Amino acid sequence: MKTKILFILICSILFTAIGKSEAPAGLFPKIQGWTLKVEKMVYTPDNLWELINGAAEAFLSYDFQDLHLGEYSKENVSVRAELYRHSNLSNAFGIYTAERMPDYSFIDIGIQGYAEPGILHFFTGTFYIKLMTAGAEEADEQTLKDIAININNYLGMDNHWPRELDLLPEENRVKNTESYIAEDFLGYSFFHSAFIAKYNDQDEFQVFIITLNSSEDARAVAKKYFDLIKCSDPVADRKYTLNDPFNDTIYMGIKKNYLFGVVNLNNQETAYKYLEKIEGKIN
Amino acid sequence: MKRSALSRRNFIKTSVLGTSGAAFATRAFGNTLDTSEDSPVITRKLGKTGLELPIVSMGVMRSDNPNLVKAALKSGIVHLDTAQVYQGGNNEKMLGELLKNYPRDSFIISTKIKPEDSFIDRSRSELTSESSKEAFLKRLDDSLTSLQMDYVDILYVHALESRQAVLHEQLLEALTEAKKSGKVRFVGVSTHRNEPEVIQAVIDSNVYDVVLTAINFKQSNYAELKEKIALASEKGIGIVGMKTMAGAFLDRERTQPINCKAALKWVLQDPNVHTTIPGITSFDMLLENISVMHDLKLTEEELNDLQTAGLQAGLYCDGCSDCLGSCKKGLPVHDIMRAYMYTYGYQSTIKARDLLADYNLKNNPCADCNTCTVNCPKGFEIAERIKDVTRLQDIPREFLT
Repeated sequence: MKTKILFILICSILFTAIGKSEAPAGLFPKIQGWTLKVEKMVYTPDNLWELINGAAEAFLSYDFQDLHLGEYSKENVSVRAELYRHSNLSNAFGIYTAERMPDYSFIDIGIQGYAEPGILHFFTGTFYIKLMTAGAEEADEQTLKDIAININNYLGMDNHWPRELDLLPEENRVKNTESYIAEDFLGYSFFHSAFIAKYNDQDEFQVFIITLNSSEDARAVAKKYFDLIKCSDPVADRKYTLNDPFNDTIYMGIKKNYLFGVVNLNNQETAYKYLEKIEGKIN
Repeated sequence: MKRSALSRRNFIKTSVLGTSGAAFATRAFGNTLDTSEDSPVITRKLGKTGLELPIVSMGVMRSDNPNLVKAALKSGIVHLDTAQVYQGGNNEKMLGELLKNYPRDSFIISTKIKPEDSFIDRSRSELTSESSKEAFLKRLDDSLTSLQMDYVDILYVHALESRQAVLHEQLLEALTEAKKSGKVRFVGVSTHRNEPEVIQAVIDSNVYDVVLTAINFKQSNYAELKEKIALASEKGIGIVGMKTMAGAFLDRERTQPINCKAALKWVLQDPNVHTTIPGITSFDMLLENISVMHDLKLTEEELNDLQTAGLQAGLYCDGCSDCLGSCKKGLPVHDIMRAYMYTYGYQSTIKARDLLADYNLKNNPCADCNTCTVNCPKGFEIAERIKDVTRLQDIPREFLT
């Protein structure tokens, strides 16, 4: 049985490889003047914890696929490169933003990155990439940037932000606070995932958007929530002020296949203003 | 039989807010969790620390929702576990923002700090001679800043795997100094691998107060681990269990959930495990864990679920290294099993082929061997898998991806 599976697997791989103009040469580019050493060990969801221990749980929740490790060396400088690949753009964005702070020094590599002394992190397409000094001498920021640019260009991913962010109002949004929660949003498994960002409009609060597959799904998920908090059945194109037993007041709207809302705010007028803005953006 | 048990669990899991949703809502309503169970919270003393903790604590690691932590504290959980590396430091910051509003003596916080990466010799799971006390203590200060606290209750050295690392002189000096400075009440080690060796070193050190160890019903070294835990407990070392859910799923595709409540209860049947830190990310998960805090008795159904799950060997090698040296032909069995994982798990045949090429293995090296002497604790059919994956050697590299 296993032999048969392997045969099928190899046949499918042969077909894929022959169908391409050339086989992929790996994920790390050769960079002139640098020696590249790529680790043969590739970490997968089964063994990621061996490298990053309990932090692996967060990566797995963002549907981590694999991790490739390489090291660029030149004289006394060594830079370790960690390429975390996730299943899609939202998940790569999610894990990148989970580790990002709004006050970092951001740089324009890939979709976005930031550099701190001795490290540079960025994300591009489905990859979250971490570069860090690994040698006796610390790599300066320009060195890290040069390597990052090379990797980014070599991977050639489509560099755009997740489209859902376009639905979040831009006005008063606190820069670099956007994130993606992959599961158990607000502590409820039925909400699953959401994009969320902080706002500062006299008060500080957060605005979220949950994308479902259809308007029926959106209403069904909303109904689970409404049942939980003992609210009458949800109706589309209406705005609600809900009393959540754990998350305090939640303002929520439903339109098409989206649920969206405002949390950590106690001001219905402001909250509804933001719900209306989102409604206006959903075509 | 197995299938029906798993299906039942699937049903229970997917319907947790369906059929049982009403019950959850009723208990959750009123801005608190109704924890008025008939039986009181079960607590145990964390070794010589003297801390009396509920048997269920909270692994905060993946939770970015402070309301969940608030609910946990309201429901009787007092011990929160985090680490400097969780969410790139954001986990500690989230806790700091929340806990600054609580009296400092109303909760117990533990965090974990890793020695710097450059000081870890991964090939031998050891710390290098340059490992620095100052660098470690600087990291402790960073954690205290993030947590907005003057001290943490328990500081673990994060993820040690060898006796050498546990007893590393610079590390022991750093921990002793941290304790002396008042920034740390108790010190410990967390371990996910070679746990018995690590625990023995902790006992021998006379420095550590607590061990945070992986422990679950699927571990192949459970018997040895249990013995070491008993010994450590007898010596006054506090024992905290983690990874009690054994990965939460039986399969890579995450379609076969483990009965997590049963798995947690199972670990806590051992009175030498003083508390546990299941990762909690939702209110239904919290409620489930709180129920264990009040009632440890395993039902017949839960025992059956564990038995079913325990019988299913994992799909891939977990690197226990028990097979090392046991093949009479001297084959690198653990690396061949890794190549098997690359092929089937990761679908990267080129990685698998390169790994096999390092050993210059021929196709089916077991062909002229009548009896396999390798005893895999996970019960893999080693010879079958070797025969299977070594066929890759006959395929030209340029045809693989």
